[in-house]
Amino acid sequence: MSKTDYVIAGAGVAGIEAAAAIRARDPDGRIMVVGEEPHPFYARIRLGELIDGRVGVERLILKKDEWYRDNSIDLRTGVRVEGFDTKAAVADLSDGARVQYDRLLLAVGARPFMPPFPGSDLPGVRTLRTIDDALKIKSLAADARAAVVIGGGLLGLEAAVSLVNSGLDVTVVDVSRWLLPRQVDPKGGGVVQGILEGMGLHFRIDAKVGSIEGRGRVESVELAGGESLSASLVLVAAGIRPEVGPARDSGIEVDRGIKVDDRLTTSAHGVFAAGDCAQHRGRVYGIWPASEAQGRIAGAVMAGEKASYEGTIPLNTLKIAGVAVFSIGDIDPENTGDTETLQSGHVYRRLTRDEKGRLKGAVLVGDIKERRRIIAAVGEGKPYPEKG
Amino acid sequence: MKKYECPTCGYVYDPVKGDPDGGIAPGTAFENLPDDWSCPVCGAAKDMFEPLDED
Ligand SMILES: Cc1cc2nc3c(=O)[nH]c(=O)nc-3n(C[C@H](O)[C@H](O)[C@H](O)COP(=O)(O)OP(=O)(O)OC[C@H]3O[C@@H](n4cnc5c(N)ncnc54)[C@H](O)[C@@H]3O)c2cc1C
Ligand SMILES: [Zn+2]
Repeated sequence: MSKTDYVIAGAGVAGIEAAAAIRARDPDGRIMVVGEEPHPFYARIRLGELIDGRVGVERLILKKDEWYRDNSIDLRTGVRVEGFDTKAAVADLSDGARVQYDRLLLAVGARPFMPPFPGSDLPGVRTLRTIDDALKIKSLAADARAAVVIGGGLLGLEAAVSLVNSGLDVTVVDVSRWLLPRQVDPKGGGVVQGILEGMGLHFRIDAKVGSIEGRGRVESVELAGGESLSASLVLVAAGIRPEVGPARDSGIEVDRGIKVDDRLTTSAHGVFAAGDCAQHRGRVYGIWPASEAQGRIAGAVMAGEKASYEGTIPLNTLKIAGVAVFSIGDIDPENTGDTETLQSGHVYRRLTRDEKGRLKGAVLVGDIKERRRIIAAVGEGKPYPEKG
Repeated sequence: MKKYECPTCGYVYDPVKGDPDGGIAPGTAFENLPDDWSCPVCGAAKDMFEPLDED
């Protein structure tokens, strides 16, 4: 059995930020990062660009081999942490190695959620989370004429644009009444939809998938309303499920994610969790900036520092195919209060105020330059724009 | 030379380091980046970046 000071399961942003934070505080500690994917840490957010060839795999790799070498980080790619014994403090790796650790970080991310549609197991039905997923979708797209994307959230829209860029006829199906319902109001969603329709996407909003059909491989998506959309590629973007398996199997407390406190500590001694797999104050963020912050703080705590994580402000700054969308606070989608909306072409701005004229929330589409001032005004409960 | 932050993912462009993998030499000021340069982490366009207030 080998011994090391720190074992990090998962070579995503949370795991790598943690490794860097540990190294900054503990120059001599032995750090091992075990990553199931064959690729070293990369820009997962940009996988859509890999599908349509805007970038290659090389550009996505965020830290080169020298970084691991210069920081003496023992990176094992293509290897899983299969399980661990929290009492003995031993982790079992998929290559047969057993490693004794002082501190273990679970930074194992999340898996795409596949709703149980009939036919979801047909060849040609895919999800997108990894470089290998993206390359597989890219090769399927090369032979496909039409695709259906199930789920019109951030990831679904980004992937749909990539497929259009690849020359496919693409329809996005979503059950919600407007696009990005958690980020923008109906009118803002309409503006986003208009921009994307201008790029050639088709939409079926407020529409439910009944089943996925095909003989031997996918041929169509059947909507509950009766419509049939033919497609030889179906991308399901129906959200994520935090990877809780290995933690649960070793008796660590899990809920939707692996439960952690403000020090990113799990219910087991010496075991920490960060990123998409972690649930902090009841919340699983599922976003890059939160995973990065959690990884950084987990690393600091693991190296003995008194750091704590208070949460990440859920500001929504999105970039869908180059279209910037920003929202904050109460966006009053039902139009119950005092709102000011302004639309000119593909630029949309909506401000929500209370009875005293103080800014409560905002949605910006297309041009988000104002957001700093808006964040300040919402934070301080001030009127906006301030009168001179 | 000022640092700039990406609003989508939090990546900070540090002119001292540049973005060698993106073909940007160390010492390149943000203002001198080509217009089609984009965030290495999330791909956001250059004009979305905000100057970082150093404290
Ligand atoms: C296409 C796409 C677009 C996105 N766009 C945005 C965006 O615009 N903005 C945003 O904020 N977020 C976005 N996200 C989400 C963002 O990528 C995640 O929040 C972030 O990557 C989470 O980081 P993480 O380190 O927690 O997990 P991950 O990045 O998932 O890394 C975890 C790693 O652990 C590995 N692993 C799992 N189990 C084990 C095991 N037992 N042993 C070893 N390794 C294991 C996994 O294979 C994975 O490589 C997007 C995600 C995708 C897929
Ligand atoms: Zn970015």
